[in-house]
Amino acid sequence: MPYTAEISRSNPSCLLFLIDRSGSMEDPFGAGDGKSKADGVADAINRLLQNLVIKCAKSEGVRDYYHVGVIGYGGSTVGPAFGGELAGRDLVPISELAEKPERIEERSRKMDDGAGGLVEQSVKFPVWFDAVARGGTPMCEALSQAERLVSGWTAQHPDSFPPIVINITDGESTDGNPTGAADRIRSLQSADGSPLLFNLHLSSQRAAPVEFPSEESGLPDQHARLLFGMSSPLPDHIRDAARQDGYSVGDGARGFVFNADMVSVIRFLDIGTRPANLR
Amino acid sequence: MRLRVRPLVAPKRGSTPEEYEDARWPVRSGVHRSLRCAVADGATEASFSGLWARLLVEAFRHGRLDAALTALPALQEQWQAAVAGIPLPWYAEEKARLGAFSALLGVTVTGGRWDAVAVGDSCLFHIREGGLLAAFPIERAEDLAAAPHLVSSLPRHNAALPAHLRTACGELRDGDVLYLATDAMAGWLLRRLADGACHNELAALRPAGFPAWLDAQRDAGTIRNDDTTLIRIDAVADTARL
Repeated sequence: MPYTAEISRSNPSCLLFLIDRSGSMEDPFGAGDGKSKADGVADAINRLLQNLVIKCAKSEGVRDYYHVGVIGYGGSTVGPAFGGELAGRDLVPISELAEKPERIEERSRKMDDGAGGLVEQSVKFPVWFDAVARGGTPMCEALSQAERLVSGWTAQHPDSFPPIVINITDGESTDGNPTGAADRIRSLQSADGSPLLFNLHLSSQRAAPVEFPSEESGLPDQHARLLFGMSSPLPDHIRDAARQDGYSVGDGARGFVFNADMVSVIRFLDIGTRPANLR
Repeated sequence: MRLRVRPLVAPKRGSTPEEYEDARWPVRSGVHRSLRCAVADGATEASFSGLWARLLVEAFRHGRLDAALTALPALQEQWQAAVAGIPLPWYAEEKARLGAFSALLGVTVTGGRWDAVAVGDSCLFHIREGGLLAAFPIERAEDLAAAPHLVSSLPRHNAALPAHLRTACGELRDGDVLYLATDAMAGWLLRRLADGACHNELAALRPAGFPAWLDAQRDAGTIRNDDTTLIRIDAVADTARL
């Protein structure tokens, strides 16, 4: 059965993020309070990476269950987007990512105090990426680079859980229709199934958020429908974990969200016993 | 009646013995007249879960944890005090803030009777004359959830605990066998005990040979790779030779 390989330090998996840094991302984000879509992308990627690092963290350090890459695309630039000490690197072990954010901010968060009230806590928020918006949207080239990276990684790790590619964008590709490049990623093969391509659509439209739909009929525009069509169906165990988490997902649910959060996907990744009451 | 106890343990393949996050009591083989025994299974997806599992087992062992887990707040404070004293990098600090989680199965065996309390997916099996008399709190392998409800070291995650707390009791006779098992082993037992064919295989297991037996099962795909703990308790007649 596909998508059943154990994810462990000796048999890690791969997560590759593609982040749209094009000029159109300067437009307002439909789900944000005065924020731009570029701010939305920066928030999304930083939160995804933070949650992934924390997922892999144990008391003694971060376990390398994942190799992680981030490809940025905007204007004439498509390539590894890490800054600082990680600049130029395409895939890095998650433990290295944990040690090398650009900076760590202190933010406050309201937490349940366990007695029916809320308590404000100061939390550390690592920042790897700031908002960037310039030039066109070479999504086809970004997906092609992702295909080469994922293909090389899969050849080196033929028995691993297949890579997951998460594309964060407003869907307005300027170098052609990205469907073909997306298909090529999803048709690569490994012993445990094909790579998964998920899309997080950040739109200027003030339409209701959509999470893991099974069909395109309720989606608000052609960009959303394009990205939905490019997205892989959720593997059974991810779909089951989503249902257990309270998401209403149909049998054909795809790895696509519109103006919503994809951090839940990190929660659904299986690296060991996940308590139902850990939220 | 005497109780001959044999704990069998092995860490997840690929992990070191220090990374083993199950806990148990008794720790070693021995013979008892009565016994408070327990297994706890610290969740991989949380940190300091091994510490939390050990605190739960120790409290049960000493009778400080009753069937309603009323002493939980004191244990939670103990866990928080232990973790608060450790300097941690940002990710470990954030992870610790989410709390630790563990399954717990505690069994009191005395006077020809057992009383059990459980939260989560560690299981008790009661065998008589080669047949499965009781499986608690889970009776079918397919009911072992990927995300069980566990006991947390933080009060805010335990609001629904009363609904997930299970108790059971049974009569124990000479010749009966009890098994306490963490989830991977419980899954194996639930699949195999029904056919009764595995009793001799289980009876032959010894602590030194358990890791090799477990690896063979893992290679065959019959047991999930996880920290694994199995305690076997034989109820032996006073007149029988040990």
